[in-house]
Amino acid sequence: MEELIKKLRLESIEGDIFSRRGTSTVVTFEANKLKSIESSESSGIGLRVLVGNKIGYASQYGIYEPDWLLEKAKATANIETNMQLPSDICIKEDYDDALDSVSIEDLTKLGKDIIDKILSSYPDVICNVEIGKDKGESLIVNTKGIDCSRSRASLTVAVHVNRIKGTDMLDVYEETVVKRFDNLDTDILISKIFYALESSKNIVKPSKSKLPVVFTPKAVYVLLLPLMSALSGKILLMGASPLQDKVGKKFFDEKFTLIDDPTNPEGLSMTSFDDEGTLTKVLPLVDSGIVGEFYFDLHTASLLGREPNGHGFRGGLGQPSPGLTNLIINPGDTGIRDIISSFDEVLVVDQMMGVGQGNILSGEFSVNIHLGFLYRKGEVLGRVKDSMLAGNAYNALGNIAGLSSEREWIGGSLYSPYICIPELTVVSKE
Amino acid sequence: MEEIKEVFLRLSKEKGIRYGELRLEESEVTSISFRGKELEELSVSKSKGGNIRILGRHGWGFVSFNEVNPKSIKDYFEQAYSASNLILGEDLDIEHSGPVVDRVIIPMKKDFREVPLEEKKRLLGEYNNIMLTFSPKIQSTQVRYNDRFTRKYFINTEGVDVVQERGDIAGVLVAIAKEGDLVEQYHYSTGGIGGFQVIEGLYNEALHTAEMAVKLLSAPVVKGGEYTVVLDPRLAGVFIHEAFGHLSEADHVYENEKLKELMVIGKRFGPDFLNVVDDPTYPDLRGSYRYDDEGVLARKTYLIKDGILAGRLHSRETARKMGEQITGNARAINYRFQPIVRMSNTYIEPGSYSFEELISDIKYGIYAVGAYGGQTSMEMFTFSAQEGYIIENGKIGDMVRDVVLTGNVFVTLQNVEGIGNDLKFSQGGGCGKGGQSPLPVSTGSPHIRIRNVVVGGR
Repeated sequence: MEELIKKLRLESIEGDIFSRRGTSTVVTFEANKLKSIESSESSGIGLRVLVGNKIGYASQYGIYEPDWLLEKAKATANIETNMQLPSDICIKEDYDDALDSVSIEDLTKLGKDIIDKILSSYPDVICNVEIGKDKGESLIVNTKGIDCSRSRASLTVAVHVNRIKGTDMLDVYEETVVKRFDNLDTDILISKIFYALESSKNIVKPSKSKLPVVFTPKAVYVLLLPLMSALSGKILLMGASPLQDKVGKKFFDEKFTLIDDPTNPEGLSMTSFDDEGTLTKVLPLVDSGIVGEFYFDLHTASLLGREPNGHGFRGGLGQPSPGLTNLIINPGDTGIRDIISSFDEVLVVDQMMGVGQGNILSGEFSVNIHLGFLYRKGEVLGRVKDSMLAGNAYNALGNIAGLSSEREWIGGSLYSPYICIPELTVVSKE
Repeated sequence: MEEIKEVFLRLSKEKGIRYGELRLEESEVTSISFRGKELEELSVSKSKGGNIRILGRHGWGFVSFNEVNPKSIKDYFEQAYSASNLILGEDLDIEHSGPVVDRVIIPMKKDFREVPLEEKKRLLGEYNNIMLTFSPKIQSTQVRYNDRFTRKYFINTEGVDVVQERGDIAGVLVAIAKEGDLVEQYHYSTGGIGGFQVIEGLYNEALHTAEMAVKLLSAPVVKGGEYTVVLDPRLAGVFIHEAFGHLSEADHVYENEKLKELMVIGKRFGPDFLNVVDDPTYPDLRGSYRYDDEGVLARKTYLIKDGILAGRLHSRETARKMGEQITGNARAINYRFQPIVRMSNTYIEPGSYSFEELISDIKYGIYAVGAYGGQTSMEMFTFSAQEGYIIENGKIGDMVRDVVLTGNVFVTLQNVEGIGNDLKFSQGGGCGKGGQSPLPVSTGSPHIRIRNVVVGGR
């Protein structure tokens, strides 16, 4: 890498180098049995150059040919920019080595224990379990003295339970991601699965097509996707963000506060610098209903004439683009049981199909209720299926009936309460 | 390469393994995109990697890597071998296909590796300009393009030694229209394996994309309910992929006794005139290939014949377990993944009706056009259209937007009422399963008509 930096300096070209290296181990149980043990090693490098005021980019996985990278990066330099590379920051973020000692045998035992527990209560179900341990290192170096690295490790437990009765199929998916083995609580995950299996014994229909709907933390993404997109610097640059002229104005329910917090130690994406070497910032995206900040990478910020805010992230070895870290939604002050009990009839949605398959920018959503439960006066009646739930995410978050005091981490990147919307439309098969 | 193969085969023999595979892959990708008037990306990348998969007595050991040399192969072999031996339980066996040595090169009419970057950029810029300048209501655009040349080597312990080369292109045009606070978008996606010409000459498509984005601004949101629907070939292709294709993948079925009972060969799933096929040997489609990623020769499989479940898609393992014929449908998106059962080119065979005949006796229904995508849970599935039109008394009427449809595999296929005579394939599709996305697949269908389909809406 130093060699490449030297070559760049020799030709008086500014640029940055981003590299990734990772290892992972995955044990997979299929239909209650251990089926495969998988491990992987990967490494790659991406070179961005600024030739004059033009960006060029080349990357390589599994090969490292400095001359090829430089030649191709120069040859692709076509994108005009005013961005300035950051300078003189040196940060090393070490990972927690607590997961290093976890062996393949530990992972297979963990999976077997989960399956045994589920089968001892529900012998008629089929469990598919995937447990993966990941370790990765990213490095960002540039010609202006940025030299930062970050290492991360995580453990993911994903459980899928399938139950078939006649032609009725039930699939429950639960996942938990932790940074430390001793933070893993599979009992919570199992109790959620039991609750879904128990509550799905009857198939029911709502008594009317417009009713209050509670989104579990897992389901909240359907409401957040339009907003996450609308606050991206790229969408702002296109003039396609419905929120572009709403900054500083109250557009959402005042109970709704959404923050992107790269400093949250529980979040998987905790980091003090982004993938361009810019220092990250906590961003109030929505503050008590008021539209806060957009998020940018360096190039997008420069095109918009904005200050960068440390949110340039890369997927794999792709070029940086505006990205989010740990999304945190403020809780409410009522317990979820009390919120559910406060309605004569309420639908609780946990899993959906078709999320994101439509015009995300407009906020419209129309999704199949893959796993949802109907409650009457706090008592669960059964599962709602063969039904579509439709609404508009902006309207929904503009009028919130309640947020729960409980919160859950979803995939290590979203910390959310249950969110109750007073009225949405459900269409069921007659 | 020869030395690496030799090390792999020698170690396999020494250890006396039952079955093992070595896959190596080299690829080179060029990506270009525009966002609004800005060129957003122009980049190239190159990749090299591989994997070793070894069948132990009770399960698989798999290792993927980027470091490809004779010494590293030895280490990775040991790793995969010891992982395969850690699995205990029921015996696992696979279907064998016999030795074959082959080299498959899919020819490119106009090799995209020889097209200068400047020319690629210019062509895409032209599409972008057509959309940008279509109307003042066009707020912005996106054009995304990537070409990928891949060379895959496959070696196994039963004498398969195959090299396959192909060049795959995927492209998307997106137009975004805005009026007041209302933002609508429309896209056109395409691709192909035959060379750069598949992305040339899309001027009308660019124009249509911009025109539709603007039209959507004045279309109302569809009213939710149950409708008789007519699907255009693009959406009908996604429909059959989601509604039945995934359920035909034997890895969902082979270990699930109850699902096996529901999916027994010979069971009726649709009307007599419904025929559904998966065919990787169909020429020149993105889902086409000669050997799958287990080195098995690809073949055409009828999933539904005359309305009756006729076959399903298999890997070596699922075919063996179910005692059915191997089909060559084990695919991996790249060397980092194990092959799993996937579709290739999945389509509904054409029937006899013209489009006019299909809609002529519909009193009130929806004509759903184009595809955003779809998803399935096996029993239930969704698929979303890019635009819809009200059908009233056999005539196509006003446009509606946000048309998302849902169905149930045990009901919806039986409700197919008519199949058109105008089979068309879509080339823009990428399929996701088990964390592997996007896998190049094609879907195809004529226009089809289905009754009692639930459409979501406010």
